[in-house]
Amino acid sequence: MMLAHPFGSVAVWLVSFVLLSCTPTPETGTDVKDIAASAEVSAEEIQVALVMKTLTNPFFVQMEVGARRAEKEFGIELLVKTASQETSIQQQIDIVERLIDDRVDAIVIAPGDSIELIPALARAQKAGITVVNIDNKLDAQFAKRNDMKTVPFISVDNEASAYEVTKYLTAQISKPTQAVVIEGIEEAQNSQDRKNGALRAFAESNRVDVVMTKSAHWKIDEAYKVAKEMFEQYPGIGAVFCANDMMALGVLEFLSQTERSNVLVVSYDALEDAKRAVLTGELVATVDQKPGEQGYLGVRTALDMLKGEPVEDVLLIDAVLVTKETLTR
Amino acid sequence: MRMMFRFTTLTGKFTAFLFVMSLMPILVLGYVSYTTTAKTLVEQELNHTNSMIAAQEKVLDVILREIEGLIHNISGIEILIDAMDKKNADLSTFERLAAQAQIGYILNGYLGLEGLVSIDVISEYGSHFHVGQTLAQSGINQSLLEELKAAATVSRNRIVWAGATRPINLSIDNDYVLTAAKVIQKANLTANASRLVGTIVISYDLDNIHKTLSAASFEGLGSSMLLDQHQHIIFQQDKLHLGESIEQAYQVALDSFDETFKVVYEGLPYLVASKELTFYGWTLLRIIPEKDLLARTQTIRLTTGASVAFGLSILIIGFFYLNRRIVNPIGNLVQKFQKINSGEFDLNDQMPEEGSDEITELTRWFNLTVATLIDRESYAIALKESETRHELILKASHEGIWDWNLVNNVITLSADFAQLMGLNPDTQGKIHTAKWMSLIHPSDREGFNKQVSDYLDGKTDKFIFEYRIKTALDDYRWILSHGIAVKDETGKYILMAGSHTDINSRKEAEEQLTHDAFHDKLTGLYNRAFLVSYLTQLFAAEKREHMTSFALMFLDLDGFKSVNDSMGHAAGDRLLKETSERLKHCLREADVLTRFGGDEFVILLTNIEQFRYAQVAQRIIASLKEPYTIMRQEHRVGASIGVTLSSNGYASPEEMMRDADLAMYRAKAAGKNCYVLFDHSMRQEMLRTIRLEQDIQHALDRHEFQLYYQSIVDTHTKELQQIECFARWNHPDKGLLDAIEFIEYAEQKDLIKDIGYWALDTALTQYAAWSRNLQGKDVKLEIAVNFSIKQLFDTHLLTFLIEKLDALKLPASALIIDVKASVIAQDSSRAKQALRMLKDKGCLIHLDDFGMDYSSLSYLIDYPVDALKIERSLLDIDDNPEQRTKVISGIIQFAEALGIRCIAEGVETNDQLALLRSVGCHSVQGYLIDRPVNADEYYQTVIKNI
Repeated sequence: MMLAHPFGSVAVWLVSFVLLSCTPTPETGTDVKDIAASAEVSAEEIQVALVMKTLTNPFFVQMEVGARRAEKEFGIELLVKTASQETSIQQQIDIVERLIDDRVDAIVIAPGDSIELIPALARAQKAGITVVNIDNKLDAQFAKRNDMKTVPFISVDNEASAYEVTKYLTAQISKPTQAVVIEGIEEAQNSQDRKNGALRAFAESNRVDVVMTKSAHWKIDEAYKVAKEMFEQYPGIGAVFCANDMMALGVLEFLSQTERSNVLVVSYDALEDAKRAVLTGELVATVDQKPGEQGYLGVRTALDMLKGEPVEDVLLIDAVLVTKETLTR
Repeated sequence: MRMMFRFTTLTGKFTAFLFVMSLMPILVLGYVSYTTTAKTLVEQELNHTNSMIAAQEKVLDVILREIEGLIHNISGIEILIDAMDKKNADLSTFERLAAQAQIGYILNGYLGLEGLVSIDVISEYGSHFHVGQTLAQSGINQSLLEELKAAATVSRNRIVWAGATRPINLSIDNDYVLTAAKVIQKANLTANASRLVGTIVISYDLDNIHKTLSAASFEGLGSSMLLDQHQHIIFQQDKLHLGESIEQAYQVALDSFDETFKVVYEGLPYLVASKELTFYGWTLLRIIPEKDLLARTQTIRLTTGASVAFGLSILIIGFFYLNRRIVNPIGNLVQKFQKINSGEFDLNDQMPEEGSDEITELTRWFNLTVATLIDRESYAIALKESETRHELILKASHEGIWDWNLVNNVITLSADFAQLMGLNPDTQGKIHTAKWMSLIHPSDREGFNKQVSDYLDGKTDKFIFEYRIKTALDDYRWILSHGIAVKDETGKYILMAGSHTDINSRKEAEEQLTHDAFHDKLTGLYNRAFLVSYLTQLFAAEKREHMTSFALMFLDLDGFKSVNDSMGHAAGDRLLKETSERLKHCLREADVLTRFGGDEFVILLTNIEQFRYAQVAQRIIASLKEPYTIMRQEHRVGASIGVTLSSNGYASPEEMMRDADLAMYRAKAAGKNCYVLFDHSMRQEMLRTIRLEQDIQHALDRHEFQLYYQSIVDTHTKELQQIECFARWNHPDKGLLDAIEFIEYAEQKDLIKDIGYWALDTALTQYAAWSRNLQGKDVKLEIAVNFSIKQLFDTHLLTFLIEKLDALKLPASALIIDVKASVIAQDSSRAKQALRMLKDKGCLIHLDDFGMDYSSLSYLIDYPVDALKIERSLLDIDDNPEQRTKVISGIIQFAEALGIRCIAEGVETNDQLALLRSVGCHSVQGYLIDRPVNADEYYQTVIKNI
């Protein structure tokens, strides 16, 4: 009997002490589930920020939808940051700055301005953030001057599609007409491209005379005012190219209010309201530049770049002319 | 080791004591410190928690206030309200989009609040303005909206905190958001009530709440939780069930929130600290697992446990040690004491002394005490033994104690002794000295008195005396008395005390011994020792006084041996006894009859006047002649008696005995059954004999013996046939002596043997030499040697004879054994055996002295005799010649018939020769032919001339 021997019993006890005391003080709540456990999200999702120009343009709503699609497909986190107005360039810059601070993985940006955003985006790139450009192209030279790496650009050929839609317009002009171009933000590349496309189309028609080009800054209400100005100056305007639908709707509002019904208007973006206007005949045609697709592709490209895969510098998707016929098909 | 754990034992008490003294305090201490620590920990934790909760509350407050601020701001925007107020349907596209854009611009400004998910402004009239983390604005969560509106209406202008809800805007990704809402009302001009215009709903990201509140949560045990008024989880540290109701998530219903309460979840207890944010109806919780809370008490528990365990082991060690070193030794000592008490213990059973403490001391002293006890006991026993022994000895040794009052002359005897002495017990063992004296044997009285006076006078240091005392039975018993006396102050002896020992038996034994020493056991007669002693005394006495004359008779029983041999010792003994009786009858009282041993008796005749000895001798002879009947058989014995007289003047008994013995031998020799009186001539004779013996011995050594040879020749041709040799002695003094002179003496002693060897040796050697001389000559010669009876029966001699023959390469037939008939007669069977043996070897046998007394004709038949020698006396022709001639002739014919040759010896005259020739005797021997001469001469005269 071990216990009978005094030293035996001591040994037994001592051993058991040692064993007991070697039990580590349990960490607070390692075994307990749920409430006590401090669980943190282990995996960090890739954060892609979609920076758009304005909240209220349905175009960007679509773009977000496409991006969301990519979000779901690729299992990333999509942050949608938008400036309040199309002209809120500074706000956009702030957004980019904040995104740099927040250390997102990629920024897919539809910049309001092709130049103003570059410094911030350059900083973003330097901070290791992948930058993808959609919708409105950033100025490449300025970008290079800012030591930016090539930023992939996804959009449509604005010039071509603007030309196309204007061509559709001019096809319907039978008599000599005065035409005007209402453009977006002048510095914006896409605005310029569209304007140029429209002007090219107008120039080809010998019956069209472009009397005025003015920017309504993509805005609906501003376009109303611009239209009012234009028609005060040139009451006989017969054709209007709007760089986007919102401005076209503003113009249409003016035309409706002034009961001018024989002005041909074409625009860009193919918003629902614009499509409705096309169906009613108020709007001659618009261009569907697949904002959703852009959004999707923008996110995807960013992801590809994050993976280290090669991407195309420029990815142009086809825009689609939206006419009454195409809608009624 | 019995381990009975009774509390009455020392060990039990000690263990209990130790337990109380050591373990109890430890346990108490452990318990107290544990509870105190636990309490402290809990308090600390609660404090900590409460501070945390307070901090969290503050932080939360900030956020909420911000949100509230936002709402307030938004609700103040006129344009917004106006826009809300318009029915959506009424608006044109332009108006709608323009309004939306405008409101968008406005609301966007407020999006700066971090964590804001969306701001939804929902008008009653269908418009929905939305800014937020998504641009999409699909449907409205109508049920939520109704809830919000309902709640808002109740709270009037204040903001409704809906808590964690589903998002108001269905396009919002989040499962749950924190929703705050405010309804916008306008005063109805017409009705006296406010009109609901729309609802501003703020959706705040729960993640942000989480981030903010987590930041405000310090490191600590447990986790925080924020529950809204519907017990939905707004904030949870591990974000697992944000937005869900706690019941849903954890199946735990918390009805009331005390500040601290316990909850059990999945079997584990948790401590919950809660703070109600009354403003919102929310509750901030801190849930701490008790285990973690009390984790640090584990150290205490462990330490306490360890201490207890250690204490227990010390206890056990102490227990064992106590048992072994103290309790068990004590127990053993107790047992030993018990044993001592019951009388069974022994010195070897000592306690081992271990260690060097008090117990050791105890043990040592115990051992000493035991040893002392044992000693005392053994003394007591010894004493008792001694006393008992003394008593026993006294009893056994027939000792008695006595004391003699020398003053009043009274002797006091011990009871035993008095009884032994047959004294009247009534006298109490007291007896007057005179009476005592009268009891002493007369012959011892004088000795007794002398001893007493010698002692008292100081000549001896002790009184000791052996004497006889008359007992009650009127017989005397020998007693030995010891005594020592004491003097009084004047130096006069007053008292003597001592012991008497009954030595009667000893004395008797002594007497017996003495008797035995001097008596022959068988016959009861005196023995040799006695006679010698007696004689010695007589001689001694005679020396002093006038020599009395006495005779010594040595008696030898004839024929005793044969009786003994034939009938056995029992018969022999009977014979002896009978003889002694008969002898006694022939003797007087005063005569001393002794048995000398064997069949010899010696008689000492004390009175020998008038030749009494002769009478006695004759009487004895006559008496012993009578036949004895022993074992129904008759036997006859005789006596040979030798007598010698003291008047011969002997100096010592030995001399006298010797002479008597000599005389006895004479008697024996004379034919037995007679007596011979010793005289001087016998002595002379004896001396002569002794001298002769000596001479013979010397003669052998000095080669004084010689063999003389005589021829035996053919009667007619005188041709040499045999040579007989005779031993002659060249005595230095007496000259040449014939064999007759000494052989007889030699025969009586064993010297004859030596002579025999010498004779044979010489004869054979000589014969061998002569044979070589006579080689080539056609002579058949034998040599005859005379054999006495001793020689014939000496097997060694016969062996020697044969060996000698072999050594000399002589045929056995060369030797003639010449034996006298008388020799054969003495022991015929043995003689026959010896002669046969010799005959078988090849020797020839001559029977000598044929015709004399013992010549039995049957010898010729029974014995392998080759020739007989006619005895010389037969040749005495002159006396009755015709008869003589006829006899000789008859013998010769008789022998011839048997094939035995005849040799006549002692032929001295021619007449004899003629006679022998006429009767046909083969061979003759005698002076007529030649006289015996020595070897050289014989050679010269006879051998050479062959």
